Amino acid sequence: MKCPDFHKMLQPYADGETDAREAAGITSHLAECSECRNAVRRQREMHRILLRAAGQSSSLNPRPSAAFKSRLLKNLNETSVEHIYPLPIQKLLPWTWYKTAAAAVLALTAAGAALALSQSSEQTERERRIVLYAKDSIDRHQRRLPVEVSGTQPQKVQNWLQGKIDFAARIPSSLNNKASLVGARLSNVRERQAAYFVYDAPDERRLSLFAFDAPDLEVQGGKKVDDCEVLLTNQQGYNVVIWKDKEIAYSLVSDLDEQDILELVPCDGEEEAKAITERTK
Amino acid sequence: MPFGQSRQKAEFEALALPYLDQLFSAAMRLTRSERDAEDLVQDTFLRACRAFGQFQRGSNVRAWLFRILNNTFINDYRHRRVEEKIIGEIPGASASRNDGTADDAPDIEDLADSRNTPEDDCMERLMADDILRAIDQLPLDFRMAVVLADLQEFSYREISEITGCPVGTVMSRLFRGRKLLRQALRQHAIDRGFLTASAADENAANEAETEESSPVDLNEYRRKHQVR
Ligand SMILES: [Zn+2]
Repeated sequence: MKCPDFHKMLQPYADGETDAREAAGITSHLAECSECRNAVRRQREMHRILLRAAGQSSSLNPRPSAAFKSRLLKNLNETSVEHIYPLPIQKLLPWTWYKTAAAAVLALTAAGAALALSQSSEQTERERRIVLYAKDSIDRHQRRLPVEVSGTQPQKVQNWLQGKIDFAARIPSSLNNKASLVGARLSNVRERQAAYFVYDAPDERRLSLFAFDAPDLEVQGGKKVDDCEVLLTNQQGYNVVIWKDKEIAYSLVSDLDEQDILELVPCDGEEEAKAITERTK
Repeated sequence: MPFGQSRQKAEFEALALPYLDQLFSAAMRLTRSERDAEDLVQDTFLRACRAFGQFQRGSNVRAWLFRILNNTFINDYRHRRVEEKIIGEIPGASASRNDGTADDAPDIEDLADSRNTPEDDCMERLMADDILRAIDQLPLDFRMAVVLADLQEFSYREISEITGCPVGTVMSRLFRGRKLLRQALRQHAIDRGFLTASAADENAANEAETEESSPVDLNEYRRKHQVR
């Protein structure tokens, strides 16, 4: 090879990007060509000078301030990992997690785009709907709107709901004895009319349970928990559990961690979950 | 473990926080403002934390963080400041933020015997801030390439992953960015009196021989030379 053939290789060579064989050929050319040798030397010198300049702290290249660091750590503290897999908790639970919901969350992100493409569009559409219901539930949970009827007795809440919703929702007085009913209000989840039940957990944590009639929401595929098939997704720092019971969809929203929120899911067959509103057409 | 995702948060923080200084330094070069760099780095960390569930354990966490930094900057920050305003100004003529410029100026004695030193020695004598300012004045794409390759020492492949550009594009941006930077630094050296204009012309002429053609894609080069 003649000298100009090497010119294009000098930058990758100086950057250490050539393979051993290429490097050997260039090295032997450099031994006899001062022009190419100088070009490589110039680039490496420049690199060294730039590194050194960046290493010298100045107003143009300050290190992150202590105030910024503590602000960052504080904000990180209030941020959660949004994901539902890998599922370290999976092994601890008596049921498996709904894998399609995991894919749905992934599909919403650029990183998961390839994964979404590999799935059928029907499947993807279904997952998208699940996530939309979850996200809308979170939006409403975050608003912390006051209850329109307060009371710890499901019967009182049920009476109030009578005639206001056109589907029958189960109203547990407590979520597995760990969070107690505070009251309810009318709401929506996406375009669906919803009954919104508020529960209080210890540590002044508020849980939102939405009941709505959503025929387009399919939850099949998960293993059964009592009579429920449960989907769980983590969005915006909240965990949302979605299940269906007697054709009615429920979404439970909380910032509790995965295991804690799953323990709260009230499924049919439990003692305290008896109250059922009557269908009021 | 009563609440929260403490395990994953701890894992994220252990993996990501060691790169805070590097990310901040790169953010300074991209935003050219400490306040914007703080915002950019914070956004990067919060996004990375939320997306940590999709991070493949064992893969390149540093490149992953820089990719998020790059994307966040491109999407949310590049329009904050008027990028084009500074380009074309003579390097060094932009307002200096510290008052130490006068103290930094070389004294007369240094100027007197600097005339015949080789160009690299001149570059050596440039102030760190002059050099940083010259980097900051590169057009964004070139600046990104130079910052990632020369200041952060990422490989071409990593830069390709971070910026989403093919390796060939990375190489040509790097090549052109470095060339612009060298020209700017040469001008600095002349302004500072480290280098005479005629010596600089001579140096530039010497370089032209090897740097005239922009680099081809490494793969193209390899294909070409394997045929022989
Ligand atoms: Zn040569």
